[in-house]
Amino acid sequence: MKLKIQLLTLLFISLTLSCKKDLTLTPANFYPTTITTELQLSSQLAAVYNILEQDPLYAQGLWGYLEAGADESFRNGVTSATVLPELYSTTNADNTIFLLWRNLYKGIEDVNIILDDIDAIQMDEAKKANIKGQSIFLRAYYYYLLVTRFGDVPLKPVVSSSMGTNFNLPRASSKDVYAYIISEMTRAEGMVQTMPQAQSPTIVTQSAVDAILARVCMTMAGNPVNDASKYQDALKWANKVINSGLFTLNTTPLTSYPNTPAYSRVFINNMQNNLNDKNTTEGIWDAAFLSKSNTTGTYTSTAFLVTQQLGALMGICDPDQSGTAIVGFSGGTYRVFPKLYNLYGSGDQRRDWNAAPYSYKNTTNTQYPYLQVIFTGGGGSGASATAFTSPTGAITSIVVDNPGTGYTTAPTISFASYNNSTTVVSGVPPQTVTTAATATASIAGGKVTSVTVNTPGLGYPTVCDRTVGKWRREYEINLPPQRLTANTSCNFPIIRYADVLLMAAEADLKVNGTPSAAAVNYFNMVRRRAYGLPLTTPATITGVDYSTFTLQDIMDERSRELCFEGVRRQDLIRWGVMTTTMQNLLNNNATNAPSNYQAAANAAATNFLVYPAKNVIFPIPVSEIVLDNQLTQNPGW
Amino acid sequence: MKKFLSTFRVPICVLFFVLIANTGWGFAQDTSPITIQKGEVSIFEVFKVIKKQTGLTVFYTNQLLNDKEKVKVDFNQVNLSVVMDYVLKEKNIAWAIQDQYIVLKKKEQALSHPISSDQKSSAIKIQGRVLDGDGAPVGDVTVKVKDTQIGTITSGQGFFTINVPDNNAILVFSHVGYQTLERTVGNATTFNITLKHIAGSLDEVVVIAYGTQARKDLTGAVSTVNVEDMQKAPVASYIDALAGRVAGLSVISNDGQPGAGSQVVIRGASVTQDASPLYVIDGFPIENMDINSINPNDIESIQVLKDASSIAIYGARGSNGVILISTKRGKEGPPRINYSYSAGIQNDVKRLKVMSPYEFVKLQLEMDSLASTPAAPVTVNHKVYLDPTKGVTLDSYRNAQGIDWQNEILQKGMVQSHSLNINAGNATTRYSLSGSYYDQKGIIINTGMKRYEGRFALDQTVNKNVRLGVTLSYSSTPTFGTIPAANAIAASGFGGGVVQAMYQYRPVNGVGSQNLLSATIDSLDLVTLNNGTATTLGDNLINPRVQAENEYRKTTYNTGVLNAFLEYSFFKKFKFKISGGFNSTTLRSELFYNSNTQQGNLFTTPAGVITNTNGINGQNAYVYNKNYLNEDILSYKTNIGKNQVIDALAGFTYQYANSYGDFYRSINIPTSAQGFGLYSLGAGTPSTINVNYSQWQLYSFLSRVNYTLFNRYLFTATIRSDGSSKFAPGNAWGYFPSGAFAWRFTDEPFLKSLKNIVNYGKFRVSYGAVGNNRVGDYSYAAQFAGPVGQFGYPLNNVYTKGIAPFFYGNSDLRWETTKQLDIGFDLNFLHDRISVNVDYYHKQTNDFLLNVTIPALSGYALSQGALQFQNTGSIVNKGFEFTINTTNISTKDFSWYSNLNISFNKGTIGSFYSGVEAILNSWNFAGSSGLNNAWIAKSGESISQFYGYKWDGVYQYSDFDKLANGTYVLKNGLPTYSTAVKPGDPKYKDLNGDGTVDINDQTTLGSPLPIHTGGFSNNFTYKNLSLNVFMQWSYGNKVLNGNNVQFNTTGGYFFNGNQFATYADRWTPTNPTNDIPRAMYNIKGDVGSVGGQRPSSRFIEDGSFLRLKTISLSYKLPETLLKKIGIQNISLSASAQNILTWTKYTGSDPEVSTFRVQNSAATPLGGIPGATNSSGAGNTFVSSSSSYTALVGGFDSTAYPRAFTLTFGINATF
Repeated sequence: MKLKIQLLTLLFISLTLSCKKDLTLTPANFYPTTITTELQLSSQLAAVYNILEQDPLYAQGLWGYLEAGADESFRNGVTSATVLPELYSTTNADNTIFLLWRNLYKGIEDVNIILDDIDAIQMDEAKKANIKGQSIFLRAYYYYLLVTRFGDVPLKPVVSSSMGTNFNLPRASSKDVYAYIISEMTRAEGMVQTMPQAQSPTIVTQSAVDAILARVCMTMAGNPVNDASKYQDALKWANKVINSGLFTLNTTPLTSYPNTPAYSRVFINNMQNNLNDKNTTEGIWDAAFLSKSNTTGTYTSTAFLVTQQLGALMGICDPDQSGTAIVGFSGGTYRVFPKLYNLYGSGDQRRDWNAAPYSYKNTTNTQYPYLQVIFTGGGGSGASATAFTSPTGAITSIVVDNPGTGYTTAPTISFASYNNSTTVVSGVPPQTVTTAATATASIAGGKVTSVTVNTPGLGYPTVCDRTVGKWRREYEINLPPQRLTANTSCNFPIIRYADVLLMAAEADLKVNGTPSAAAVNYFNMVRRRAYGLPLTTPATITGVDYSTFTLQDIMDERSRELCFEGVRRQDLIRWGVMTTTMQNLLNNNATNAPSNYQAAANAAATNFLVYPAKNVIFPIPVSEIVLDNQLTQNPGW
Repeated sequence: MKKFLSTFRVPICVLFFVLIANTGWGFAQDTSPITIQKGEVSIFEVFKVIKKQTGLTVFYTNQLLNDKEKVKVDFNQVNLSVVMDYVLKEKNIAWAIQDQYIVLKKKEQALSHPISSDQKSSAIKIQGRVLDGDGAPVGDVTVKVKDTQIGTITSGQGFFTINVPDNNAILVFSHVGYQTLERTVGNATTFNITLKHIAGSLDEVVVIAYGTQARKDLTGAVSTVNVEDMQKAPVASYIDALAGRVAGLSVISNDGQPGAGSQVVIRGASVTQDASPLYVIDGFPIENMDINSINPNDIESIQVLKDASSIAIYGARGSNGVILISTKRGKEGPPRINYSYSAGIQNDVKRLKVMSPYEFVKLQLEMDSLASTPAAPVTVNHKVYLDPTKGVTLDSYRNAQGIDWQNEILQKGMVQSHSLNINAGNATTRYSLSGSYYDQKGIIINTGMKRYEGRFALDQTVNKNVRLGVTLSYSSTPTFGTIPAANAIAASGFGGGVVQAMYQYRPVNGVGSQNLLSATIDSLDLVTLNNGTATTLGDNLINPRVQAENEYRKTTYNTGVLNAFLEYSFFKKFKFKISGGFNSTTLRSELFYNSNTQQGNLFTTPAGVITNTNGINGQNAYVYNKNYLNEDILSYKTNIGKNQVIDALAGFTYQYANSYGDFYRSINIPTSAQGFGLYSLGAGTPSTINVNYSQWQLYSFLSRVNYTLFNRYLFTATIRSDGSSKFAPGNAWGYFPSGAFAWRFTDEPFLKSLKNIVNYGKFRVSYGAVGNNRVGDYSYAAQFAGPVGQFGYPLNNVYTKGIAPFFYGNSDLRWETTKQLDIGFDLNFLHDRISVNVDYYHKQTNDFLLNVTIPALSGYALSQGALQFQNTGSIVNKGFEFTINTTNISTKDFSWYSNLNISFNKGTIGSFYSGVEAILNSWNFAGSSGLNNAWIAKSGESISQFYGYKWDGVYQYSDFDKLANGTYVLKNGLPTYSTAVKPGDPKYKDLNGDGTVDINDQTTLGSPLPIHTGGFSNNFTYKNLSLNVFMQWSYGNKVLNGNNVQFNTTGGYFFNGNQFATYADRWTPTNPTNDIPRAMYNIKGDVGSVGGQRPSSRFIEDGSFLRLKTISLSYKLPETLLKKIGIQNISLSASAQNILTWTKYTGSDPEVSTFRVQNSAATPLGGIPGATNSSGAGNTFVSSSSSYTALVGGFDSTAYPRAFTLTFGINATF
């Protein structure tokens, strides 16, 4: 009995002692979330940047299925019943919207972790500041994306591991979120590199921070926060970029492609990952993707992490889906609205770059113009013209773009057309021209002065057949051995110099009531480049230079210049013109869009107008509300 | 005495002295006669002579016998027995021959005197031996001559000698725990008697945690499985035979797949992701065992520990209950060889009829009209199936013989097994050696399972203080072939399986020339692929037979176990036992998909695209799991005075496990190499490579005290403390105390009078706490992603590899704790003819562990959401268990024993800590993007209920107003889910009355968990024939008939696919049924819905069933015949499994659960093979029994059909 008691006592002592022992075993295949080395730090920073190339962000969402529901392009083939955020037909359970939310908060947490640990890490202080600055900026930028899309959102500037198991965070007011964003970005601005140091728009530089700060202030000044005092700040930040002298608009094409307009240089750079041109003259901040081989060498298995769908989903139609395609596949999903097309003046080089004038129809790289006016004979050369069609494909007018020289007699007019409106199968070109058109050219002084339509014909391609041509796969270089059918490595321009100029002009207009001379100059610089003219000398062609401009001029110019770059919808919202714009679009489509495109072209606007107040903002993902019972839903969702 | 002998069966006590009850039996005659010259010598000298002349050493202690004592001797050619009896005359010492020893032992007073008194006057000397059903000797058996006082008892070796008055005497053999047997003497003088064991008897020794106990001394709720009955079932794994055998133990096998796992739940599950019990095999605790690794014939006993008192000593791992399995060990006696062989066939039981060719074509033509608009009529199917120019019309199909794909896929299965066991031992050394082979050809072509198994157990007594034992076993269980229910695994990337395909594939080709039977792919499906309406070859477009023949899947578990113990006894009352064990489980999982499979096809669209971007592909996963155990247990047993017994133990255990995992996948393997199958992986492109390592350890201290007062008040106190590496420092240690009290009230003097009715009665009560640690090895830790580089970014075209946190740990994570109260009665009536056990329990589980989805704003989200293991809530399981064993008839030639058990369990969720109201789980179907919630676990309600809409029939014409343009518009006020509904569409109840049917109208639709389950087993013996009939039932459970979702709903769920025969009775304008909605073209759900079919009460069926599960008939050949050929025993048997099922369920089998939630902690290599290693939870177990949560039971989707089995067997003992 005694023994037993002793035994139990012993046991008891050992029990109490045992509790002190650390039983932890070191994990083999993951790191604890504590950053201790510089290498880990830069890896973690890469993960913060990685958010930019996620699908709901710049790999597609922010220029495609989330944001494209405006008046620039439409998704071919959809109906008003198709469920897509860009068509305003989705629900609060939409997965892509949730993924946007999730990725942004993931990026925010990634930064929280960096900032939690960075001060304790021994490393070069300048490097440290740079990493810290980039992190702070990116976190603030992700909040900007959140507040503009979701309205009031929870602010969570602390690491999750400090929050235990309670994640019931309330929404912070948009105003507070903006205040946080501006103060954080301002804090970061002095820490990051300058563009001459970074030498690449894929890295966050001081100019990127300044430019984005201008954008944030513009947004805050407009709907729904309407803090007009921020126009002054926007002007300040935009001017800081302009006055840095680091940037200008490209006025020359890339040397390898002398026949392309200067305007296209940025986008070709995007498609080529800046391999032929660092893109630091006009590019300020790009979301980077990678065009290295992904089947061998260093970049094995990194394929879908760094590619996106510009050029494929939004690109020039090409049916060749094979891995060895010469040009690269595109279904030509996004089509150009006649409303945008008709905004461009004659001679504006941006039009036929943004609205592709041709497509590919087989496995060769032969370009098939949608609708080409051909001048034959007459002794001269060089004449070109654009034919405009009615919704039924009748040629309504022909505008001479280049009068040519040396014409002694009126050249014969004929048309080449290729219609892309149905699924393209190799070797089977759809041809829908039912009645041929005829036209007559008039000449004067060796030049073609005008072309008169005699028989309008029927069934010619229309603007809606044209796909978005801003980013073209034919310029892809350094391809993987097997091309990805639907993905490219095209960089995406988050902000570029033209945007900064136009923001400066707009902010100036808002601050001063009438634009200052400097503002008019910024505005005209954008226009002159578009017509292939020198930036600083007054334009020789009439209609290019403006002596002054209105907000409507800014609205139109931004669309001409920045279309498809994911800014239009946010612009319309901040201007408070989303509803009227969508209504105008419907009216415009009614006159200009062919009947077989009406459903797709009108889907977004029709759905939007059912409940505009709801549709200008995304729902808080319902799955998130289920898990965070402090979250409230946006109106209408 | 009885107690001691019983322990032969379970070698736990040291038996230094072999116990002999009677002197002088016939064996001695075999020795040479003894001659000792006249004189006076010491007894020692006599024994020396005996040794010299017979070779037998006399074995005794000096306390027993003073061998210096002198005796007068004069023997000439005298029998040994005469010499021994003379020497030991009046010394009250018994002797017996044990192999090469004559062992001396004090005679038991009580037994020797009255029984042997009449012996001398008897005329005929009878000798014999008593063995049990396993051929082991039974000591202590009372052998009496009927209606006389003549009697004796058997020796430890089972031998007896008795003198009977005449040939008409009847010998009665009786022993508690065995069926009484009578034999007429007749002309025989030797008898070999086999006594049958009665399961559950009071003196039966029950294996409990860290020891054994007589059933009557138990204070906790411990159920013993009748292993003998269970072994009669012709099944591969003991688990398959366990259902219905024990009250409180629920076993539901997923489906009929050979080697498939089962859901094993003791007394109701917690919400925790893994509800399976702790398995302790020969003392080695394994949280997830490969249930197929043990040959059922090697099992000696299975105990199910259910209440807190019994399981508390397993502390942190016990809260799901414990199953103790002991395998066979050597027994004393001459070598016995047992060989058994059985072989048989398997057949599918119930086929689900699909539509006839006529009905099928009719539906396809209807599809055309559904797809048509006035402007664009569709005639695709008309062209496929009809050809008016050749006179092929719909009516031509009336008598057409379509292809019966079920015939093509299903086959007659076959099973065969061989087992061989050698078992022998003497007083000091015992061993058992066995080997077995099992081979099952499944009822789906190219599926099956095999098992190769060997086992060796050795027990050695070194001296009176030291004893040791070793167990070695190895088994290899390959299972192979397609897994039809795999499509139910979310995110497995596998769109359907051959069972789905055998319902879906079209029965007739139409007017085309394709031979559907031999073609790899249906040409119609190629058309949809080629014209761009399909982007992948999803939905089973491969000929199901070709698929089944070509799909290569092989999973092999290899389990090796080495256990050893050394036991040292000292000071009589103490024992110190050191044991060590090593368990190694490896899993090799091979997959290869050649170009003739759904997963590896190379079909190319005209645009030049192979839609299957992986091409021919294959993968190999290898997981090597090692588990080490050390236990040091000191035990102490003593009597204090007459009335108190203390039996205590205390100890320390340490367990450590680690797991290595390698995974690689290769894609786009060239066609030229695919003939090499898995060995062509090197020719492809490496795709995913994972290498994994994880480990855990557990330190434990345990102690238990059993205290018995007045031989009727029994107390048990237990405590265990566990320290686990699975929890963060600070939360690593848990303490699990329990106490129990039992009162054997029939031993109270004042209740003596009751004895004739209630001969045994015990009241038990226990209460205690146990824990659950089923989380990943590092679930407490936040983690960065595994493969560095996944989240990188090309800064200025230089790719910087990224890391990113993806798994959010919870450093507050702690044990789930279950507190359980158990109150029970054990009553035996009418001299043990009826025994009844009743238990009530109340289990409160707090802090249940769940991998909870937290808001994505936490920043830790991967595709499966942001997950964090949390202690999430509380749950109560209450239940009632009732078991009755009866001896209905017991006569000389005929006996009938019954066992009936029934269990009720009700689990109710108390609350969720985070304020969540419910956990929802969604179903997932091949070919559907719909992930609709179909299960709910709701606070205040059952832990699992089906969830969905209340089916309200079909919209009829009368529900609509017909407009002038011919369209139908729903009448005002009728609720709907879409403005597009038409007559014939499904109608659901608008429960909240708001006029629209939406997610707010979902409700609970019954639970997959039964109200009660039970089993009823009957054993009949008539002379040499014995018959076992076993029935099992489940009552009140619902089944979600997932097959109906695909094959009885829209008709167009799959393009060109067939439907169930019942679908012929769908709603049509001329057949306005209210039961099945109209056909729809290319829609997988209701009109206007995005994402698949709505779960509704139409798919929920009553899953109650009563099953005639096992019938086993065996015949023992007459011994007289066998003796001549030197065989002890041969029995022939016929056994059938899964014979008849009575149920209202319309699917193929109501016992089904095809939905698997992957327990991220238990899946090898961080998820589904092929996925990137991202769960990071770490794991150290491999298991086919895991990945079950109680939340999503009762789902029947493309289950592997359950087979009827009939086997014939022979069992011979030499």
